[in-house]
Amino acid sequence: MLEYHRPASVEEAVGVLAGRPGSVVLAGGTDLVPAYRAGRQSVRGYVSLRGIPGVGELSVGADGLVIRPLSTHAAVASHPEVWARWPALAWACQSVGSVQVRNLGTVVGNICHASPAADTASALLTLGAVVEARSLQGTRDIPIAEFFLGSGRTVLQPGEMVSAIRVPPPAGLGGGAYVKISPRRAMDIAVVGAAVSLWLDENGRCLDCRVALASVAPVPLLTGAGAAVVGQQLALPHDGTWELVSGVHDIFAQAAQLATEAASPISDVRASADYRRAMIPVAVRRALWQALGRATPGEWVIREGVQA
Amino acid sequence: MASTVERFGPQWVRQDLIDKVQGKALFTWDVKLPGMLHARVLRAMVPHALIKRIDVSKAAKAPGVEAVVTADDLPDPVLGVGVLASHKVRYAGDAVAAVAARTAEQAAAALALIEVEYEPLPAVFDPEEAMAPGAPLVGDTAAAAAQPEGETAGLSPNVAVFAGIEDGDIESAFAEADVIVEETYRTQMVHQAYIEPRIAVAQWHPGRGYEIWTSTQSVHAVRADVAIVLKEPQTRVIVHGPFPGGAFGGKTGSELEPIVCLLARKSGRPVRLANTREEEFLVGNPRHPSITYIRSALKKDGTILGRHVRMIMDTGAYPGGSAIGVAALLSTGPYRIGAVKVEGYSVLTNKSSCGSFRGPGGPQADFAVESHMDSCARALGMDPVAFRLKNAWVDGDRSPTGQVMQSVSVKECLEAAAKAIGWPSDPNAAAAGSTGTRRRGVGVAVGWWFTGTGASTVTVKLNDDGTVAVQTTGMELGSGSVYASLPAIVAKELNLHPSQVVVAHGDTSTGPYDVGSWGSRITYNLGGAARAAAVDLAGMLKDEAAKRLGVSPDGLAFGDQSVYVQADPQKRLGFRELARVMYRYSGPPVGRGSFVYPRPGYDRTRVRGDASGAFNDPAYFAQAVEVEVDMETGQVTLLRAVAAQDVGRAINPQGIEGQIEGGMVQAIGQALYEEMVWQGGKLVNPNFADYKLPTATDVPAVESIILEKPSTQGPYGVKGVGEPPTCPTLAAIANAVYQATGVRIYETPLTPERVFMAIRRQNSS
Ligand SMILES: Cc1cc2nc3c(=O)[nH]c(=O)nc-3n(C[C@H](O)[C@H](O)[C@H](O)COP(=O)(O)OP(=O)(O)OC[C@H]3O[C@@H](n4cnc5c(N)ncnc54)[C@H](O)[C@@H]3O)c2cc1C
Repeated sequence: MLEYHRPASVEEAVGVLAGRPGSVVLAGGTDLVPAYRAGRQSVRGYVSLRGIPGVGELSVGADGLVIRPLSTHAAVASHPEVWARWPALAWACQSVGSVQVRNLGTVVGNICHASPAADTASALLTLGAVVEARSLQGTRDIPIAEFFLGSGRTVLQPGEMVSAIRVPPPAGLGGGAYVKISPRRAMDIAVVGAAVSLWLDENGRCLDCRVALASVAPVPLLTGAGAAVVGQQLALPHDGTWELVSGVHDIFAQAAQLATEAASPISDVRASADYRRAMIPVAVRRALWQALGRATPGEWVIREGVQA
Repeated sequence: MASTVERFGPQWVRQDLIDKVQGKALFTWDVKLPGMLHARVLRAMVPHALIKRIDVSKAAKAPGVEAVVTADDLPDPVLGVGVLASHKVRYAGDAVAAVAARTAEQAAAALALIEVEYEPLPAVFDPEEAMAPGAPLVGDTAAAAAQPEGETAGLSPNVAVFAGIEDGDIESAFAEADVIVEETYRTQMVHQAYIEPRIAVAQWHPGRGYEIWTSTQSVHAVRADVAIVLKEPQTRVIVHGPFPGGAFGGKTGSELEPIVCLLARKSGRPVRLANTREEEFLVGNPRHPSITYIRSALKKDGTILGRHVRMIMDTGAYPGGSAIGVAALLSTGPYRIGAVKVEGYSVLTNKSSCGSFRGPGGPQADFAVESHMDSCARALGMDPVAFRLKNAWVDGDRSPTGQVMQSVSVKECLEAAAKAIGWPSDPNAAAAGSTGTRRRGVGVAVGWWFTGTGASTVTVKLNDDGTVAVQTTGMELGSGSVYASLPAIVAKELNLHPSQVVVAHGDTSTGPYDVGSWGSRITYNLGGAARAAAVDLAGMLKDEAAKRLGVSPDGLAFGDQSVYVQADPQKRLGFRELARVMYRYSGPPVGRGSFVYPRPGYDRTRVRGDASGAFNDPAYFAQAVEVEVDMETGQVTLLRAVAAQDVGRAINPQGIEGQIEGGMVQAIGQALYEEMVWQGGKLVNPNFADYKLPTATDVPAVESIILEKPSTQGPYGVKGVGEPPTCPTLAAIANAVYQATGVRIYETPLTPERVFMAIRRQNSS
């Protein structure tokens, strides 16, 4: 007989997870319920988080963004501060499934399910998020880059659950993007997803840039491609406007190339490895340009001969 | 957008709508009978095998199980071929056994206890391999193994159907050609994807026989099928048809009904059997995949000297509903062509059995011939619209089978669609709105489709309260053809408001015969029958009123639910009064009507095998689309979709727009997104996550243009409406992609990957 638990606190929840091995956390259920219905899952019971006060809250402050276990994609994607400061995440959340799925599905559920295609995972990778795991033994912090082990596998131990994801504040003029390549505009899993977060100093030099990919490796993949962009002059400020400097096109192409080399896509029912490989540079370049645009709001000047 | 046509009658809220919107309409899914059991079917997981042994003894003893059936329970396994496999399974999905238990979970658990021992057989999945002599035989009887003769001599007995057309001297046509264009087109297997899966509930009454509630397009077809398979007289099979939750051709015959009847009889209890979505993908008789080799002999001036088509349809495990006969006639297009040769084959393979899907054969043939028409035009340096207009039929032209075409409107439809999309004066110039890596283009395609086949009968009776009831077994699939068109037609004849005409939907034991809701036939055939029945009733009412008013029936008219003297409108008899006196004294005010009409003639010497000889009262249509292609990803975005369709007479314009929009969207799905993917005899995407229907964000608003050129025989001139919108869309989109990119895509769906790879190949060559 399938068990259903509804603890009133995180302590109680980890108590159930420890005491009833084989039980799993039930967040929005948008991964779990279809899997259960299709008979793809044998679990002892579900530990619903719905009874825990404040478990869906989203906090935004000087020290960053805190996503809690029941924070939905819709909640994240409807928060103006998230759009302003962590755009890669906002775009990723907005690209998940449909309105209904975003209203139920959670960011924590998305990373715990650990699909290589998880849209928010690549965005969180570019943002240097930290996953806070809780068990009867206490709390530990896991950098998200160390969180994924393989398709459907994470470093979470039996009895452990994610109690929060912390996203640090932006480190300068921030821009970000998530470009998802999929046949349909909604309700689709990424054939290739590219997340970019980049930060500029006031003079338009790149302080940091990170590029992560979805659906091209056994895990959501943080690439080293940002290295091609870090330290580069990407734009020049002129009293209130920005001028595009020449060479950005090549810098982005080089980053796209590095990202492609980092990937190991496979063929499946959604796309061939060949197509995926061809789409990585396209998605990365587009994400970089969008991110640059967002990092430098206001008017742009592009002089003749400078390739955009 | 509807063009302005003179309204046939008032717009009103049809009887079934509010119930449907509020979720109160009854579907078979809602049918619950006291003591009802729940059933599940055991399906083969192997594509081709002999059944050596089936042991159901453990399942029969499992908790909750009340009955288990296999082919042994059929009165005659030969009659049950395709219902329950007796000695051989032909595809991974074939039904092998079924269990009825107290709960669906118990039934599912019991399935796992059934032991089936298979002896695997070599399987064949590719229709061209299956056609070749020596291919593994999908059929399993001596007849199925007989070597073919005649047109298919030398091919494998897997060729289930041949359909050929020959008109004129094809060899000389190609010998005289200035330009020859030769191409190959392919379409994929797609599913109807209705919301309600197949479901049937059955009960066995020893006195009356089987009583069935089922989600179907035809209660009479189910009755006939079940009676044959279970060897019962038809009258001992009573079939009710609650509203079906969508069908699109997928529910034309019986599938689960004989199985659920066997279980009901064996268990002595009512039994409910519903498919899961996965099963529905396997047994839903999807659209035949096709391969079309098409070549044309052209003169420089744009004359089409000859066209040769060789078309192969993959029909899957059972011959099922063949689409090749219709496709053969469609495959050369509604054009004047000097000589025509068509060879069509429907071939068995070890996959799901294909059948009727809205416009069976239409999208396949139209994709090939209408893409090819663009290629021909471009090979000649002609504008694709002008090339079509030059060759399109007009009244009096003959089809390849010799039918004299009447009420032809290809040109009118094409001109309307081309104008609406803003057909460019130079179709080779880059389209407006193209920027950077995004290229825009427009494309057109035309088509034609038959209207109406099969018998319909309707009775129309005057009720005591002065309203009128239309009695029918016609199934309302959602288009409004039963619940909107029939009341509108009857109201027209009796000068009533349509809301004063109620639809009384009957089962096979109480309702008048109707062959089924398919073939774009309901408003035409059932509407014709309803009109005849209303005219019959009108005559009775006038005769009775004439007698009572002491006037001649000629001077009488209908209005305000009464019959009145036109010259003296005060002199009148109300319908209530007429009902009262006629039921008591002079005989029932019940009109009866069938729709009978002569079939169009054609030249039988030109037709081989199962090819359609003639199309009854065909409808013509054209579609135009504007696309934007992302050259870096291959993504095709539809910006605009226009459909111009000649409906003959628009009885229910709102319903027609619904059909055009829905049909075109369904075809957009086939053109861009959908495909049932088979790998090694296994369907790998039987779910809506990986079988991609277009979402609301993927399709533009469809702009409908309704044209009215009356048919020769339909009531008020109506032509068929429901199937045409699925036919030209694939080619219109592929043609627009060509105009945008200069790349011809020969295979559907035009997924981003397929388009991208084609662009890349073209760039590197
Ligand atoms: C129609 C549809 C469309 C979809 N589209 C997309 C899409 O476009 N992109 C995409 O990335 N995903 C998509 N998904 C998948 C899914 O919606 C997301 O992965 C979603 O974020 C999962 O969140 P959830 O809250 O529903 O997770 P649940 O289903 O509740 O849980 C998912 C997994 O995470 C575990 N889990 C949840 N919370 C915790 C916790 N606090 N600690 C430890 N483990 C936990 C669960 O035990 C389970 O293994 C789609 C799903 C559906 C049904």
